[in-house]
Amino acid sequence: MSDLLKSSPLNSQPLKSNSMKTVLLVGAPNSGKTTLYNWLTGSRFKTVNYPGATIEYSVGELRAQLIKNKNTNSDLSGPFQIIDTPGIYSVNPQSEDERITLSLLKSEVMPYQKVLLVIDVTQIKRQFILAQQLIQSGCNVTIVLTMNDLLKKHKKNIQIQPIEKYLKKLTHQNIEILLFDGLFAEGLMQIAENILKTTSQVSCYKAETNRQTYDQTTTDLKKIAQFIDDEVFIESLTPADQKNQVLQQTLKIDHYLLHPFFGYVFFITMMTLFFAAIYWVSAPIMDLIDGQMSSLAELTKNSISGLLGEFLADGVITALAGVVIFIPQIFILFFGIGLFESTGYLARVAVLVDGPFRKIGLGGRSFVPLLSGFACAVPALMATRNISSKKERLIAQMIIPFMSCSARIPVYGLMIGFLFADKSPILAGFAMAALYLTSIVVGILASAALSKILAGQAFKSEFGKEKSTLAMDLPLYRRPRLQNIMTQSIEKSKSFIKKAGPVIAVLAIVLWFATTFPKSDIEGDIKTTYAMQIANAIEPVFKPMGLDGRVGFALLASFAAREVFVSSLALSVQAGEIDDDNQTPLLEKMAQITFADGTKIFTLASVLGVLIFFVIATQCLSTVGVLKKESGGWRWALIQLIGSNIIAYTLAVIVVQVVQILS
Amino acid sequence: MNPKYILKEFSQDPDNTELVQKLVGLGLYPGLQFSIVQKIGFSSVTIIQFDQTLVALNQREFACLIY
Repeated sequence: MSDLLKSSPLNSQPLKSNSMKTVLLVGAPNSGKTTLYNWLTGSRFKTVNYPGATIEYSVGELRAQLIKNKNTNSDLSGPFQIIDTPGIYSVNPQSEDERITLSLLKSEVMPYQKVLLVIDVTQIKRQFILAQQLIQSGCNVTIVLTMNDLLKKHKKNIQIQPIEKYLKKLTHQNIEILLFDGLFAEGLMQIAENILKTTSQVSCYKAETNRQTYDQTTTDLKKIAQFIDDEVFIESLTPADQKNQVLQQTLKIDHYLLHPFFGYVFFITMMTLFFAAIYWVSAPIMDLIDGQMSSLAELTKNSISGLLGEFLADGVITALAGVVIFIPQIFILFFGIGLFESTGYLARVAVLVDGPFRKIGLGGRSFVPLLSGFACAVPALMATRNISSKKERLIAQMIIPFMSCSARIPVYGLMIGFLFADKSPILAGFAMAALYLTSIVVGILASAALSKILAGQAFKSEFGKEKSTLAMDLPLYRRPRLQNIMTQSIEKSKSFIKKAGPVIAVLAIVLWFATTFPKSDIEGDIKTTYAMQIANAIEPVFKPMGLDGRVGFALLASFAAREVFVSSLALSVQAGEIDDDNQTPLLEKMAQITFADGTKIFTLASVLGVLIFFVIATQCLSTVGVLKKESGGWRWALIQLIGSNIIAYTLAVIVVQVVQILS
Repeated sequence: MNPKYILKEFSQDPDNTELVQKLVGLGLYPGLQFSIVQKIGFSSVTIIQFDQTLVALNQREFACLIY
């Protein structure tokens, strides 16, 4: 669903190789490329405060406003596309995402005219080497220095002229250097002017001109550091402790958040509260939506008579209500993850979990993709490109589908609501957290098992000499920009509706048709409908899970999209109860429906069974498709799909049977 | 205040070539002054600081630094 991690070109505008001039935004991770990209293109991609946020390139057109405001020569200006690339530290790529950038620089994807090299000015000493490497290898480069506002906080000023002179001496070229402040877009017009001046001449990174040895690179790094210290920064005359205020604050906070014991306590507490809050905070809003949607369905049925009214009320509105009601929970999920990301805490957690993760075959770098899996498995799987070890990457890919994605929230919400809502909302919140915890435990067990399997003789040639890496920047803590997080969370919630909406609409029609036709000669008797026929046929499969054919029918429909389960259930259980008023809220209906012998279908046992099935089973076909692509073939994707479903079903049956015996 | 160290050189073990490349990419080079800020994750991760930069290294990566 979401694009928690910055997005693939599938979500952006398509590449236009012939008609447009192309500008690549290149730079180290976390240097501010995406912020600049968003300002230049008017996109709202998420900028996050940890390295490796961009795992694919994004493409957008230069905003029309930035072109119109300039009176540039018409031969030079024209339509421009901007490409935001994954971060690189140097031209020696270590991971899949870095290889994507190098491939773009080498014009292997498409020709381009310019590189806007984005350098975090507070990190210029170590990021400047990239400028040197790109210019020397033949790229047409303009340097953009970002985070100038932070530099001012450090009581430093930067001198541009010495850098220009330094580069001129080194490369015999005039390289333009521009300053940019991502917060207020200060310097944006100058950057736009620079882009508009770009000629049609194609730029290209020529690897053979830049075969830097390790010794050469370290010598260059030393020279650059010396040069920057001596000539570039003018430090103001303030006490030393004030200059490093942000760093000192970060170190103080890290003392507690990365404490060998309290760091973990804080992390686990935060995660538990976060997942529980998804239920607590959203409950009153969900009740409100529920009431409104029920009234709307009733009003529609009363206003429009006949088959159309039935279709709109029982089909379309009931199905949409099943998704709309869960928007508050989905919004809170994204808002919470956004908060963690923007402060810089996520990178700390990656470091914190590195040790424990190693014991189950993963590493700290796996944490962010796994956390993204709680939003949506698709971008999470793509985010694994940031993991350099092939074995670790595969394990992370295989367990990401176990992380409870946002599409499961409607199912969890419904089932927890059935068990606890009236009795104890607090308990309901903890039950939600427990489900997330269960998915983590399942992931841990699967990871440990896979790690053992991949370490075996059969995979020795494939993964034998793998070495895992962690080496990562820890960004300084930043105050989160709540407005940005709010906007991004709203965008993501909207994208959930956009993505789920059409699927639900189509399924609503299909399900309504299946639960309405063929009509029986006896009025109100719908036992002859297609849905009931299918339900009767599949009932033996779902009976051991404590479910009847109608619930089984909804569960089968959820393989199209998990969130469809709720609306399918709403339709199928109402279809089975011909004497009841169709407007009975779903939770009440669930409490009422029975097997033919009069025993209730939804009990503690069967609800637990449904939850276990949804926690473990991989149902989402988009996930399977992306897993196939990212793991390099069908083998692992099919193992994940079939394996997880068999385990999910078996465990659900065992739990249902045991609970039934005990109760 | 954490004690400062000078990075003398990187491990010469040919098995570590890629790791060393990564460390150089992160801005580490012989002669760099750094301090060890924290050891976490059951001592499996070391956080070092140089200039305004904090870098987290796992055991194998940290072992590549000779100081």
